[in-house]
Amino acid sequence: MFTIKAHNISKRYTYRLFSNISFTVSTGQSIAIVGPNGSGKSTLLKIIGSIVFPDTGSVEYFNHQDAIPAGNVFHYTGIVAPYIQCYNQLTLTENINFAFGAVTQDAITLIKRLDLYQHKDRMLHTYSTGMLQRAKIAMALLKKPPVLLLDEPGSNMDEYGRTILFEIIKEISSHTAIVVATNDSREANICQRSINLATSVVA
Amino acid sequence: MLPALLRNIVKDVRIEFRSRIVISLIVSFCVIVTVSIGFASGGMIESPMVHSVLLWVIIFFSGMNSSHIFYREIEENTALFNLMYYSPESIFVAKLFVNCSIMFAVSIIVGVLYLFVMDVVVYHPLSYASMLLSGSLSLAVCTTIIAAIAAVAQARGGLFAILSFPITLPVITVVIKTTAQSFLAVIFSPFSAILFLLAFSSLLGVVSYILFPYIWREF
Repeated sequence: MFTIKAHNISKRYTYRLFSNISFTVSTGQSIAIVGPNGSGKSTLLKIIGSIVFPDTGSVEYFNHQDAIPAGNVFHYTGIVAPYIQCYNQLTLTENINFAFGAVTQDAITLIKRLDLYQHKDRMLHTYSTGMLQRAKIAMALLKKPPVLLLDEPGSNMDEYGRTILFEIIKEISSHTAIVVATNDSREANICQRSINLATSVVA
Repeated sequence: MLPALLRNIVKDVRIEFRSRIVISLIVSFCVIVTVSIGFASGGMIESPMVHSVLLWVIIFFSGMNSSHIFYREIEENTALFNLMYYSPESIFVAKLFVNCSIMFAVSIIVGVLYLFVMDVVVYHPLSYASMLLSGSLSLAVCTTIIAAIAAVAQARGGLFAILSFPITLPVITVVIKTTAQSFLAVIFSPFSAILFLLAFSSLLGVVSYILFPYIWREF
């Protein structure tokens, strides 16, 4: 059981993004972060992922009862976001080998499901943006993380890709804590709860 | 940690051989600058100290291009991807290894090419070789952590040069002085210089290893 507890998180750059956001998300739960453009959805996701620090408030991470230091959170998270890219000068097979040491049967099954198997030996810089997104999703899921952070996961993907993505999210939702930052109502609707940054309401 | 190191080194080497950015920059810079200085001086330089200064200036600036291995991670948004799978410590050690390899290659290419182009006689070849290797090791250790800081600050030119100068100054001073002595037909021992460079590299390496996780996660 992995739990993320956020207490009164606030963040501002030159203007206030959001303030006093509190929520808890555990394994088997999912939460969507919604709000208009510029409301801080990606920033809140970065704070949850310990990529960016909040101005006020704190985020705590627990693996069962053990507190996890913020510096070690990356070991437990899979992140799909526009600001995280796989190595474009490597093939998908080489990226998988780099991250996991070997291309396992699980990896082959997943990349087949994401319709990337026939492209696995092409360098990623030859991929379309939709294929790159699928590659990023594959890399994050192959880690089998207890926490999955998704920032606009369906962006640039076709209808087939989105359908597969939603199916996979449903399948892993029982053993994963999922946080999705999105403007897409379909992506938000696969989550059990949502945080609206325009109103700071957790529903 | 060993598999993490090996995978990061293989990844960096593979990407470098495919993009050839660092290799092209370094080789072209080494050759062009060394040959240009050879033609410009017209064989008029006789002072061993001037030869030593010129040699290390070329090595220093050629080696500066190796910092691209950090800039690439930031520019291509792969730094966080790497951190998702590996600890910052293993990333640092792998980058240090790659940077040292590049600096060794640079110092060997420039060290040999300079003697050939400038027609310099080395009276103490072992001292000369040991200075090239220990000097380039120290420069690599210095520039690895500075390149990481400059890359995270997204300040490619200015910050890197400004930070590099004071940190590499003790190294440059010692290697220039000792290399100049290897061009003279007098008996001397480079032992104390080598010891200083190895101690300096070790100390800075340990400090960098401790600091790197804090630097590399602040983007």
